[in-house]
Amino acid sequence: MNEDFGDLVAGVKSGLHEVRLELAGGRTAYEPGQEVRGTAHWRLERPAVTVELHLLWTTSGKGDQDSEVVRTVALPAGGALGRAPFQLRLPDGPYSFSGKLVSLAWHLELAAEPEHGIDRVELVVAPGGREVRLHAGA
Amino acid sequence: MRARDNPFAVQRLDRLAYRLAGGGWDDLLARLDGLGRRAAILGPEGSGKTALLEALEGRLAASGWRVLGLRLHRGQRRLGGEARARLDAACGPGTVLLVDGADELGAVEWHRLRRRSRRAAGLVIAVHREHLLPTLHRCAPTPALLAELIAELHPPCPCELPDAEALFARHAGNLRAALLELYDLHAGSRDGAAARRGFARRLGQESHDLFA
Repeated sequence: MNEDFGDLVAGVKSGLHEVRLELAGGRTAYEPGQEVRGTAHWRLERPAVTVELHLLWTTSGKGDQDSEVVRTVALPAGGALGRAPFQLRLPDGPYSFSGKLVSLAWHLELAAEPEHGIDRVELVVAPGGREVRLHAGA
Repeated sequence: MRARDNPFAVQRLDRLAYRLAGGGWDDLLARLDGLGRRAAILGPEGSGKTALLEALEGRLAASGWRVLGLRLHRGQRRLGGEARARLDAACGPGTVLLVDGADELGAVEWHRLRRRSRRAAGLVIAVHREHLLPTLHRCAPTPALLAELIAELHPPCPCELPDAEALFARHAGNLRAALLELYDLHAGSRDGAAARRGFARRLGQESHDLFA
């Protein structure tokens, strides 16, 4: 199987292995409850034991960072070189938002083990696909 | 300014590397070995003890040690059941325990921890004051260090650095509190420029020539 890694939407090379998330149409902004579609690509030195997709949110700002993985999808591993399409329905909340003291961002993360290949793409999940701003100045 | 864009957001502070003065890591690790790998990191609140402990974890792991880290919160007088179970499962000749905030534990719980850690290869604690373990390193922040951290977090224009000496004094050397004051200043404006001018006024500056 030939894999073209030349046009990277997002991808991480670590040593000689590489994992990459490709979202349909390069789209990263969604309404709550919409479906995210895409393809996971991986090229590893050894056959993948697990390839998983994690949907998580993280906070940042003045307080301690918080995060939660809300969904994990196991993709068919098989082989050191592979690709797998995926579709994932986003939750209704919390919305991606930013204020002066805290921001919340959603991420889709592809993890291939045992070589610990990771790729992460940020998504906006909010009405109109636009991050909610809590203050005019934020 | 969005919280995530604030140069002094906590996730950026947590990524600051500990600046080890003197002989560097080789000296520190050699000293730790000389103390039988049972020692304490001392320092007041916000002086970088946690950052040093985290950096030490990486160095020990790179040297082939298995590292088990425990972080105790203010007022936590006892280890929880899960922490005790992790200790009992992980303590062994190849493991070094790192305990942040060990001086929060009551005397009886501290002695229980020491007893549990006997099977481990080492125990390094981070505490505020002299403790029952010999001192490996004393964290002693300075205004110059604060200025250096500010420059790393907010590099675009070094000439816009606030007065680190006054900031350091106002927070009695608590680097974290000083940096979070800068968070508040930047949060108050779209691009931080107004925040910096306000900072200068608070310091009693008549003009803005502190900043270019």
